This record gives sequence, structure tokens and C-alpha cells, in this order.
Amino acid sequence: MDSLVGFVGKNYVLMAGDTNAGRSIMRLKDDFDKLVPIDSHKILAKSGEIGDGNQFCNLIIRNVSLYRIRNETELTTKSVAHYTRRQLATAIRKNPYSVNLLLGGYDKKDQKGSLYYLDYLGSSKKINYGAQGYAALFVGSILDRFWNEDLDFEDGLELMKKCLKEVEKRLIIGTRCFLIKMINSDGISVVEKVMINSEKKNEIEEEN
Amino acid sequence: MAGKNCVAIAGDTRFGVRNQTVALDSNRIFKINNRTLFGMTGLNTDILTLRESFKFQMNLYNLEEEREISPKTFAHNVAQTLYSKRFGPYFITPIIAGLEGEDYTPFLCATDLIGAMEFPKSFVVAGTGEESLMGVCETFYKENMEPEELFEVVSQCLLAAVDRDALSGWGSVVHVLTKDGITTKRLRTRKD
Repeated sequence: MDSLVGFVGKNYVLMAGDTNAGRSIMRLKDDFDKLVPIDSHKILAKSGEIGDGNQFCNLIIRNVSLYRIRNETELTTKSVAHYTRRQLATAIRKNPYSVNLLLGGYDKKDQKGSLYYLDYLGSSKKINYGAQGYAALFVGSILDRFWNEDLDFEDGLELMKKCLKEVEKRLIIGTRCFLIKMINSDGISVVEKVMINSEKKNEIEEEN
Repeated sequence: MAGKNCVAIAGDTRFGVRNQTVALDSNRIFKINNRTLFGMTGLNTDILTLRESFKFQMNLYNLEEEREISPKTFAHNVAQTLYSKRFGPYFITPIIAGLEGEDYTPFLCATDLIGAMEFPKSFVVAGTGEESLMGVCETFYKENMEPEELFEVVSQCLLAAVDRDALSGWGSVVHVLTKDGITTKRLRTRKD
């Protein structure tokens, strides 16, 4: 039910998630932020069970923080992805966390953004663009067609909105509201809270 | 597949979740040392976990023994690791290919998910397209192939088999291991 979309641009990472929190058929909350900051330059976008998501994200945030305090150095996105994967992989056969994640981060050292697809089983893959949830079925082909590695921020935002419009239009489960965040060398910033409404009919249909 | 003092491993590079493709550049064939290549198919999480586990074990082996592990010993190590999880297994099918001994004899080993080993002389196959692979390898294999011919045969076998298998494809990589080193080439397969 959750939709998460992310891709890496020229020197930023753009991530979006829907803001619905629900249980079975009921929408409990429609301003739920699924893009959790791990540290100043990394976001863990969570989908799946809300409780598991909270607990697991807290685990990762606290441990990344502990590493920084002990070693006085920030972890790279690759390391955090590795650590997160390891936690998921050891948990799956003991006390599974049903969360699917997208980890996006910007590394000052390489001056590059990176995005990782992490699964509840502990699969991990570095990707340039991708999505979690039902959104992946719709958005995968749009990103295949329009993504390239030199997307600057305006084009990237337009592409993201194109993806979110498609999710809103075609996904039968109503997800109108999305939160878009960006990570670049300055850190994490909320780009926009987008409300998409594709119910407006065009003029030809109205006349009929 | 084994040739004359050379072996080759080929695999596709699709990472997918059932019918959805997530990534096209997933590498499942790993170099253990200059004599041994190790490929796995199956559940991605277990592939990654075992990759890390074997890397750790091999680093320790190199430090303790002060030499490189032989393919046969590594294969036994893999089988033992898999059997240790007999009643909660890793869902993978590993393939070990290497050159054994002073005269670089080709060595092939395949195991199932709980470590039952087989050591064929010709070829080993694994994955969702293993039946197709078995058929086409049986047809095209011949003994004592030189590295160039081995590369051609392995590539064509893989291409033919992944074309028929819905869950394989989206790019492939072929490694040929001879006593001079490893040659790696990427092939384009059908992207569907």
C-alpha cells in the first residue's frame, strides 16, 4: 500500500513517499512522514508494517549515531546500507521486520548521491532509480524511459512529479498526497508536499 | 564449463522479485582467488550473506595458512557451511569452478542448498533456467576446448537458456579462468 520512489540525480538524491498511514481498509493518518532522516545526509524511506518500520528505523538511527560518537566520523551511505542489510538478514530467520526500504544518501567525500533498495529479507542492491511497493510497477518503466545520470534538479523534480501523477492516477488505492525530499551536499531538505488530483475531467468529456 | 586447462562461469545479472525486475547489474559470480571462481543463484539475501561469510573465511584462511585455498578445499568448505544449516537452509545453489594443482586441471563442483556435492568433468548448471541450460550445454559441450572456444560455447549456452526462461536475462557476464588470469566479458541478452 505504501509507495516510495527515489532516484539519483546529478549531485543530489530525490526521494518521495506517500503520506498515508493505514490499517486494513482504514486511513489512520494522511500526513505520515515515511522518509526518516538517519543522519544529516541520509534518508531511510520505510514501507510495510508501521510498528516494525518505527522500531527498525530507530535501531538504525541509534546505531549510526553511536558509531559517529565512538569514532568521530560519519558513515558512508554504502556502509549504512551494508549495516542495515545485515540487521535485516539476521532478523529474517529470528524475528523478522516486515519493512521494505529505500536508503538514499549523499557522500561528501565522493560528492555523489547513492540509492539502495533493501528488502525485508535482507536483499540489497545499489540502484540509480527505483521504487518500493505497488508504485514500482507503474514507475519502473517511466524511470527507465526518462532517467539519465545528468538530471539537474528542476528536471528531476519534474520527473518525480510525473511518476507520482502516474501512481495517483492508476493505483486503485487512493494515494493523493506525497512528500518529496532531496538530499544534496547541504543536507536533507523537504522539497514539496504534493497533492495530486487527477479527477478533473478535460473539456471534451464535460461537454458530453 | 570445463575446457583444456581452463574453466568458464557465466551468469545473468538480473535482480528481481518474482515477476518484477529491480536491477540489471547484480553480480553473482565472485572471485575467491586466482584459481577459484564461485557463483551462486537463489535468494539474494542469502547470496550476499554467504558472500560476506566466505570472504571472511577466506581472508582468515589466507592469514592462517599463508597460502591460497585450492578449489577442492573451498568446495568442501561451501558444502560444510551449507549443511551446518541443514534444518533452516540458505536458499542458494552454488557452483565452484577452478583450476586445481600444479598442472591446472579444471575442477567443477555443484551442490544443492544443503551441501550435497557433485564433481562433474564437463559442466555444471544452476538457477531458474537450469533445465534449459542442461539441455543446451549437453549439446554443445565437447572435451578439451581452448579458452576462446570455451568462451563461445558458454556464452551461447547461456544466451540460449535465458531466452527461454522468463526470470533470467537482462544482461549477462562470462568469466574465463586460465592459468594466465581471468577474462571477463559482458554480453547483451534479451531484455524481457
